[in-house]
Amino acid sequence: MSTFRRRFFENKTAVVCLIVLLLLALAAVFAPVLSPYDPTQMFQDHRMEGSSGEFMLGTDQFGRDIMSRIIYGARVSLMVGLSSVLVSAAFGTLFGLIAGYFGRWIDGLIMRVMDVLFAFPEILLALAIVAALGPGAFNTILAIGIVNIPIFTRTVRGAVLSIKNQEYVESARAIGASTPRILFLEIFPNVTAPLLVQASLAISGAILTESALSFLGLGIQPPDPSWGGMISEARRYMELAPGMIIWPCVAMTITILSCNMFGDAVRDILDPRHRGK
Amino acid sequence: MGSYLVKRIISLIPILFGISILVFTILHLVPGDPASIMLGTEATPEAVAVLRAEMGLDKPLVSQYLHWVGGLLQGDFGVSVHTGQEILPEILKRFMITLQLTLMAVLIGWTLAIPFGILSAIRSHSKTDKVIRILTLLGISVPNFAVGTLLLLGLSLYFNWFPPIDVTSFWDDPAEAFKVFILPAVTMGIAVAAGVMRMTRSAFLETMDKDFIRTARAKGNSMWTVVMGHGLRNSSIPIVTIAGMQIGYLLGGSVIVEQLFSIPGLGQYVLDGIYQRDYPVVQGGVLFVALVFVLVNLIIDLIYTWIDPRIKY
Repeated sequence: MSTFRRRFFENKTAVVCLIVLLLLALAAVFAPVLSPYDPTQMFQDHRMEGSSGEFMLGTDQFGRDIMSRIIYGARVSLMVGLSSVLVSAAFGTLFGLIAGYFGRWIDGLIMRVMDVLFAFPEILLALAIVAALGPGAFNTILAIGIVNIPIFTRTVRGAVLSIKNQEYVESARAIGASTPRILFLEIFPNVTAPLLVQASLAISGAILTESALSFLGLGIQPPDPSWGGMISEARRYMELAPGMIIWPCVAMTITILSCNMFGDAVRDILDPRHRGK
Repeated sequence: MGSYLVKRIISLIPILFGISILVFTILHLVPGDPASIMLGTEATPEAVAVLRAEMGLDKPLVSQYLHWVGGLLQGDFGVSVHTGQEILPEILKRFMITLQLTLMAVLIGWTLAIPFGILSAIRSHSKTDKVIRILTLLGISVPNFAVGTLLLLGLSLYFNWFPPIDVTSFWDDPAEAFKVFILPAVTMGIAVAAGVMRMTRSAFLETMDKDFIRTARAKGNSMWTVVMGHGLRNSSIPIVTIAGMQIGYLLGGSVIVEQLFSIPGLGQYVLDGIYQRDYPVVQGGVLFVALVFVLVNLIIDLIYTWIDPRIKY
C-alpha cells in the first residue's frame, strides 16, 4: 500500500482530481453553510437576472439563486453517485466472489443473469426500473445501482478466478477455514484493487445517468435542485437567460471530468499493464 | 463457421428468455394496480375492472407472462393502452427513424475518431496527442443532453438557426432530413468519437510496438503504408468491439437526444409510454431494444472472424 501511496502522490493528475473531488464533497456536505441563499427561496423581483454581486451566477425563472442551487445540486449528484456505486459494488462483489469461487453451475447461473442485465443499454434499463418504482432520489439510486451490478460482478469474478488456486487460499482451506472466512478474509482483500478502479470509474457513469434521469423528469423531483433538472427547466428560457443552462453544465462537466481522470489515474497506478501509457 | 453460428444462436435462446422475464418482472413490480393508475383517479371501479380484464391483469402472473411471450413469438406485441394501436408496427416505424439518426451519428463519430485516434497514437506524448486526449476526455465527460442543449443555445443565439420541426426520412427528402438529423447526430457523434478515439489510440499504441511493424518500417515502407497495411487491421478488434457496443447503446440510449430534439424515434416512444403509464408500450419497446442489442453483439462476433481469420470458433 505504501508504494500505492507514493505512486499516487507522484501522479499530478490523480492529486489534482482528488483535490477537486474533495472540494466538491465539502461543498456538498456543507451546502447549507456555503450557499448564499436557500435553494428554493424565490426572489420575485429578481427573475432571470445575470451575474451580480447579490447573485453570483444569476437567478432562474422563479428568482431562485443559481449558485445555491448548484451547490445543493452537488449534494444530490454526489450522494446518488456514491450510494448507487455502493449498491452495485456490494452486490457485484458478493455475486462475483460466489461465482468465481464456487464455479460450475452457480457460476453459470449467476453469469447468465448478468448477461441478461448486460443486454440492455444502461440508461434504458434504469428508465424502465424508475418507471416501475416511480421517480425520486431513493429509486434513482436503486435503479442505477442495479444497472451497474454486472460490471462489478465480472470484475470481481475475473480477479477471484486468477487467485483462487494460489497457495495461501489452498493453505487456508487445508487448516480448515470456513468458506465465508476464505471468501471474505483471504480472497476479498486481494480483489480490492480492481474493485477500486471499477468503482472510481463507475461513479462518473452513475452521476451521468442520474443527471440524465433528472433531465427527463424521472430522477430527482422539483423543487429539489439537481443539475439535470436545472438544465431541463432552463431550456424554455434558453435565450433569455443562458446562464441558467451554462452554469449547471459547467458544474457537471467539472465533476464528471475529475471523476473520469481520477479513475484513469488510479487504474494506471494500480494496473501494471497500463503503466507508462 | 456455420456450426459456430448455429451454436451462438442456440446459446442466445436462454438469454432472450431471461430478457423477456426481466422486462416483464420490472414492469409488474409497479406498486398499485396498473389499470387504475392508467385510468386516473376519477375512474369508476367498473371501468377499472373492465380494463383489468382486457389487459389480463386478473389472471395469475405466470399465465400473463406466457400469454405475452406467446404473442411475442407470433409477432404480436399487444396494443397501446393510450392509443389502442398495435405496438409492433409503431415500434418498427420509429425504429427506422432512430436507425437513421444512429447511422448518421456513427458516421460523424468514426470519421472524426479513427484518423485522430491514429494520429494521437503514432505521435504519442506530443502536443497533438495531448490536445486530442484532452478533447477526448471532455467528450466522454460532458453529458449528451448538455452538449445538445448548448448546441441549440449557441445556434439559436448567434445564428438564429433552429432545426426544422417536421421530421422527414432520408429517402423522402435527403436535404430536409439532413437538417433535421444533423444537430442530434452531432450531439451523439461527439460521444461516439470520444469513445472510439480512446480505443483507437490505445489499440494502435499496442500494435505499433509489435515486431512486424518494426520489420515493415525497416523494409523502407512509409509510415502511411505501415499504418494502413499493418496497423489498422491488427488494431481493429478492440475498435470494432467498442464501435459495436456504441451502436447498441445509441439504438436504445438515444432516448435523451430524441427527447431533447423532439425526434419521434423509438426512444421517445418508450419515454412517452413511461410518461403516460402505457406499460405495454414500455414493455414492448424496452424488449425490442434489448433484442437489437443482442443481435448487434452477435454480428460483432461474426465480424471478428472476418477481420482476424486466426480467430476460429
